[in-house]
Amino acid sequence: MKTLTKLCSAVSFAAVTGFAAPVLAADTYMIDPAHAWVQFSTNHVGWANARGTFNAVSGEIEFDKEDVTKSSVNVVIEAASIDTNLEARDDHLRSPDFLNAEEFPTIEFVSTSIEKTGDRTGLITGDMTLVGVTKPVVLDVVWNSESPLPWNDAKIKTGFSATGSIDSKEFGITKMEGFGLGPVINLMIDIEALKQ
Amino acid sequence: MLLTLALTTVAIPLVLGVFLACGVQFTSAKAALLALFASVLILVVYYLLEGVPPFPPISSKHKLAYLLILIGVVGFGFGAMKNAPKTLIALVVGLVALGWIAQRKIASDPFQPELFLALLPVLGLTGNTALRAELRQDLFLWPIMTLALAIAGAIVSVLGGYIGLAQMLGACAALTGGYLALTYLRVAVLGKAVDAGKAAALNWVLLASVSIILLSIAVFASKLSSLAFVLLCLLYAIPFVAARFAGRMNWKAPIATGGYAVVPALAAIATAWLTAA
Repeated sequence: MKTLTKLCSAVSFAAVTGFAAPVLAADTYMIDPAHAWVQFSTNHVGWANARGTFNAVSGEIEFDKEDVTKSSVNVVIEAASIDTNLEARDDHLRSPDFLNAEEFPTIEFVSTSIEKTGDRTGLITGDMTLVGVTKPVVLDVVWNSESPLPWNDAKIKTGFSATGSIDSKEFGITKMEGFGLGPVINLMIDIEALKQ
Repeated sequence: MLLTLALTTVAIPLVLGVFLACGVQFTSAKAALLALFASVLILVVYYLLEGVPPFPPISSKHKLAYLLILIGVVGFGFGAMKNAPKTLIALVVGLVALGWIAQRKIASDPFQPELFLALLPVLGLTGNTALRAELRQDLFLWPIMTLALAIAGAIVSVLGGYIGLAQMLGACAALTGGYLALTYLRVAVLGKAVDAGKAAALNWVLLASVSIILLSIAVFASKLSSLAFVLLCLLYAIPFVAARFAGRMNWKAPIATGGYAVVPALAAIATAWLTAA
């Protein structure tokens, strides 16, 4: 009788804590740094859009295909990896006038909510931390496709494209205007991630 | 854009410097008040170039604004109290500034070479604060040194990849230049009598402010030439090598002091230029 009571208690505990629930639907994906492009553009004195990219991107995606609102994204970008095709300009962009890469080595995005807007589209709202300031940012995301690697069926890769924009002033990057830049920075993101 | 740059970096600070000289020349304001006034003018310059910093500060640039306020308070104290342990206080202010500005770098590795480089302005400021009274109270020795540090420091900083604080130094140079120009004209050329002692505290505020900016540049300018920065810091020796000009109120003495300042300043600029090329 005691054994039966213990068994019932264990089952109840498991049910309450979720141990007895089916396997979680979300899959874990790691961003492939070699196939991740975080690019940006910003107005330069009205003449053109200055463009650049970050070469060091990593992170993790919990992707729930059954209910995408239960998914989550965590992206880390190394600020010093900025590349605008001119070393002297990159040095200045790494300085405390802009990215302040020595004091704040990483730019981070952590999703806080996801809204499904279509079969393969959604809006990801998250907290972006840039130069030590955290502000909410919304990204318009498209899930492009998912398939095995052509040379290895065991490895599954998925890919997303996203766009969004931030206001540099909100992050305290006040020098942008002084150099005829911004203040709005447009983001163009393409990321491939490997299923774990 | 260029007009705004010329206004905020040169024209307005230059006029503010003339105001400061007027405060010394034409008012009966005490040394402590003049030191505070100098500090307020430097904060105006900071505001023009960097805006209002958040509180609490987030980055080293924001911290710089609060350190400039601290320097104003210390300068006020120096003007008000004759027997304060000024050298010790200057050393503590310098070390506190270095520790706070470079907080994150020190936390990651306290033995990075740029941190030792940043000690030079701290030692330069401390050494100058320890000078004998007749040198500290000279109307031209510290301002000429400050002007040379700010001009050469601005160029070294631009070439070292930190344009924002180079602008700040450029504006400090304009402020010190405006102050020095009117002082030189009235005292050294026209021979008007001024109580030199009442300018000592404000001259310290100008020197300390420029020193803290230089310290910050040493820590964060990514392509800074170490040799150029060392040569730049030789300028802190100007009051020692030009000591014989102290107290001489003639038109030649400040120019001779400036002549001494030109040598390390040009050497620092040339070295930074060659390193960047």
